[in-house]
Amino acid sequence: MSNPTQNPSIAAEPPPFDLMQVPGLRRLFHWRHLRTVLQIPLLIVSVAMILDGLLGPSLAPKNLATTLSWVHFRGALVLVLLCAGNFFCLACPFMLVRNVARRFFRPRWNWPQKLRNKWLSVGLFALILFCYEEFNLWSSPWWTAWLIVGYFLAVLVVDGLFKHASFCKFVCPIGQFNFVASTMSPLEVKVRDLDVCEACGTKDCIRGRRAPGSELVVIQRGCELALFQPLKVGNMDCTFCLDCVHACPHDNIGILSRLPASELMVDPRRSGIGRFSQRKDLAALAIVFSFGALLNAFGMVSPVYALESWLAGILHVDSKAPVLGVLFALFLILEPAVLLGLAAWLTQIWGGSRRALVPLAVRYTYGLVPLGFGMWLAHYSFHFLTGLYTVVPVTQSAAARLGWNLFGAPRWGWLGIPMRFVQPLEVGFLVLGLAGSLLVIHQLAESDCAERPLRAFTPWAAVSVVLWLAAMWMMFQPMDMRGTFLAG
Amino acid sequence: MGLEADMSHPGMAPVFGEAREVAPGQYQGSLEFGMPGDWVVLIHARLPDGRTLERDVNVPGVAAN
Repeated sequence: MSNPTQNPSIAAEPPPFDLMQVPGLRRLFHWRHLRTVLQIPLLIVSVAMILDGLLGPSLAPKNLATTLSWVHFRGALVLVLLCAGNFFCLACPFMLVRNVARRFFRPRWNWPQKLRNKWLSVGLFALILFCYEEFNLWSSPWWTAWLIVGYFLAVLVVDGLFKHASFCKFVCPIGQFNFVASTMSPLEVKVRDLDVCEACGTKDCIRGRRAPGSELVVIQRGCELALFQPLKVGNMDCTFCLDCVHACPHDNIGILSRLPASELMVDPRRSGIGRFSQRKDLAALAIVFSFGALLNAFGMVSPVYALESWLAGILHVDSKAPVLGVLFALFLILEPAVLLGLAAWLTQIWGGSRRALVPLAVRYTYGLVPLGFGMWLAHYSFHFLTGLYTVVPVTQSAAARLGWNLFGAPRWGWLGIPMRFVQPLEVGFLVLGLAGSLLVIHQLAESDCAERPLRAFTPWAAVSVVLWLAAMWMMFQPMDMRGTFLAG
Repeated sequence: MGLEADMSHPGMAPVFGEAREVAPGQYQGSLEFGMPGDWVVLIHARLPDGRTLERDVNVPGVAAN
């Protein structure tokens, strides 16, 4: 392992930007209580959302739970992931409650070996997307509040029983979304100089820093997600908690810039993860992330209701769940299986790849992540930007119910950025997503089929273009947000 | 009498209007829904004794023209 900054072949490259070297930020990121200070406001907001969701107005646009969850949180999340990194996991309020609870209850067990993968969280991620449609979560403050309560309870139960960050790594659907999306982020928690790590005898970044004279007393925990910094590649499974930064005795970990999606173009053995190409569960997560982005947006445009009515007629049902079940099976299982299977088969026979069909599909599936992220960005930033200021009247109204007058009567006319300005941005996100996918797929094809890279590239590029065209078509469909099944 | 219509999804543009008395006890007004989907019409009225009255009416499945 060599220090990249001392490698003569790339010596001319400028050193990466390090966010922690920015004056003022260095001390801030090294401050041990930074995470807690970021978590406290989000915990207060979460409690306000739960209370307003359970006790406040039942109309979603007037309620803090629905407005903040489905307009502001999701939009801010994807924009921060795009512009910086996984800072929302850093400020996660669920972890604050967990940390407090762990002062009283120490977990005793390790997470079961058979569940040390992403399959459970992939299922939960798909389940949340399903529940979003089935229970019209966007229109129900009550259900939204219970979702948040359920999240807090799940964290307490899982991390109350199991050691380390079991919930974050193996359960949390939001976390999995953030992990996959943060592969597109420009910042990464990373070792500054690998030579320093080679000379390090304590490995505190993973073991935790011990009290002087007592090996059993941990005064600063190391990475709870089993990411050993010198062998960590990219943002997958990194919550930006900065435990490694605080534990490193050599101040050798920074928040460094990198090319977004670059970690998808390579396939080294990654600490705590292994090789991407050998992780079917991670590929399944990438599939739910990418195809789920389209499905989630499809649920909000007019043609979905025609399709649902047609399906209900065929199935002879008048309830939503079976129809949604069929739609989810079609878009999250059958469609990916057909498209990715076909592309893998073509890569095999045309590109001459020597990999078996499934490993081949697994390897290239990660190439769809940029496109999926582009779709999430387009969708969530649309709601965020067009409804940006709605947080003001909703907060005013919630405060008024407590008897506090915040700047007069609620300004219900306050909305956000006009749709005509936001729509070009959405198209830009989708174009960026397609470009990213094509770039990643090209890099994978070059390393996989060095003799005929174009032939390996073409089938996967075709899949990306087909999905991109579907996304563009959706973007220009009339929006139609209904909770009422088969109405009109 | 004030009228307000909101979509079931938060963050979408509400529409506002007024209803006027066209006969004793009968009020009429119009609202133009800006988008297909589920809407809720809110009626804000002030009674002669000064009290305020709030009522909401669900208008599900509004279709595009």
